Amino acid sequence: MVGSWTFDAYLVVNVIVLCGAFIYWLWKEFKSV
Amino acid sequence: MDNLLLFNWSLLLVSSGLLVYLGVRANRLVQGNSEAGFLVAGRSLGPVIGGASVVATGFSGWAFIGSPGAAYQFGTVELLANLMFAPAMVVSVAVFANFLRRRAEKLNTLTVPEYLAAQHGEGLPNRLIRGVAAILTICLLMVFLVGQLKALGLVASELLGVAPQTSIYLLVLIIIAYTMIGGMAAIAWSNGVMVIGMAIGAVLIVLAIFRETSLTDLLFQLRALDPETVSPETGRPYGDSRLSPFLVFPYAFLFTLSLPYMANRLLSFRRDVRIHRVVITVAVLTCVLSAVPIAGLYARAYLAPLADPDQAVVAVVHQLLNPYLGALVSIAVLFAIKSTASALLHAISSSASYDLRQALFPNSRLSSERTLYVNRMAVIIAGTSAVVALTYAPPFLLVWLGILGTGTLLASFSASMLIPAVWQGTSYGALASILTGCCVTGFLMFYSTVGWVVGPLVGCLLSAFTYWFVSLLTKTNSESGAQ
Repeated sequence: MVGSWTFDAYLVVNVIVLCGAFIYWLWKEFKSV
Repeated sequence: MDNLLLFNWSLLLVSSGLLVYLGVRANRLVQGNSEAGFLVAGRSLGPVIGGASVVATGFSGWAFIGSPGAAYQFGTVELLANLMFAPAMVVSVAVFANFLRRRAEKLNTLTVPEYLAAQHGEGLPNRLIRGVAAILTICLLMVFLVGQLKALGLVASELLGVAPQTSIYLLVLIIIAYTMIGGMAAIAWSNGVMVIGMAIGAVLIVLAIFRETSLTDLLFQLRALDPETVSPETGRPYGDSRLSPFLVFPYAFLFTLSLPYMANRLLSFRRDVRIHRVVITVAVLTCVLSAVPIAGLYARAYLAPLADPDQAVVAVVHQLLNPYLGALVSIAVLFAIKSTASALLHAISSSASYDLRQALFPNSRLSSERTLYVNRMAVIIAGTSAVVALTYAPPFLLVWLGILGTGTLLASFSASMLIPAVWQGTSYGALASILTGCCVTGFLMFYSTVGWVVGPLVGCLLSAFTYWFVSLLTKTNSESGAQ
């Protein structure tokens, strides 16, 4: 947290998008293995 | 000619040569698939090129010019609002891309106006919806294209040392060439190249800034100048509430799925495309590109006041990068504008040469060579018309022109594009919703101060209500079983 709610939200959304997309990709890519 | 100018011209010529080469390569696909080849690349886009094309088209000159300018003026709120395009594009691709592609293939449709019409029956109502949708697409996207060309002229003239009008002529010629030769495939492949350039530009800007200062220092400096730029009490310029910047999420979601020049990428995916690979491509690229407005924050914190906030990226590049790296960033900005401009040109021309033609003359049968010729001529006419319109267009704000075109169009199409996925309305409902979305949003943009996100969203809501209400009224009469 950097003391700016907008910048904090910016970082959180970035993490959610990247982690969410990565988990979705992992799940779909390897679910049949 | 000095070395830097020579370097800039070389960069432009090499990159333009590559784009035209991709157009020529794509021509094989166009020749083999007739109209589907030109309009939806023969439904051949894979996950990386497809995802890259969605991002390159969605991130226009706004990403490198308008958004850093807004960050310069309003602070970190713009950084957050601009990032909302990332989750919106990811969710829209993950949830709807396969659905739209499958349904478009089942209905045998190649464009968004055709898809809208085919979802709502056949015959005269179908032609009416298609014709109205094509005319709106041509008129409103032309407004946006004019805005993009204006930005293209401003950036290219500084890079190449020529007058803005001269640089517009040169670059429009290149865009027309590869769009005309290769159609959708050329645009998608060139988008793949351009989005790499855009990502490199974004990384160069961010690295240059954080080599010079730290995040803590940047925010401290901004807070000292104006605390509102770091911890705003409102969501200005997106609205009075702190939640207002998050409204960009539904806006960008509908933007990706409803606008003809965005949604036609989803219709162009190949049948066996793995959507999760598209999703990861879109997520990484959108997050990288969403960092560019940090340049606006740096310019506000450390540079002398700018007369025009839209010059924030240029000022930061001049200050922090050597001229040759600066030229690379300028090429990235040009790529961002060109990728959107070529997609707009393709959507406008296909609306004229394919949708409007078939709406007006449903019984005309052209040979595939003749059809391709008509499509290509439409690209030339649309490109030339945009340049002429730019010459005589009033000097509106670049951003406002873009929002007027895209916001009004997404409010017009979103209801009849997406609601049939869960509830089937009638052709009268579709037509009424298109006209309601257009009129309401256009009115709000011209005559109110609700803001560029709220206006189109209100238009979308009223358009959805109209779709439901008029469909209910007309469903029992003639069209209840049409679909």
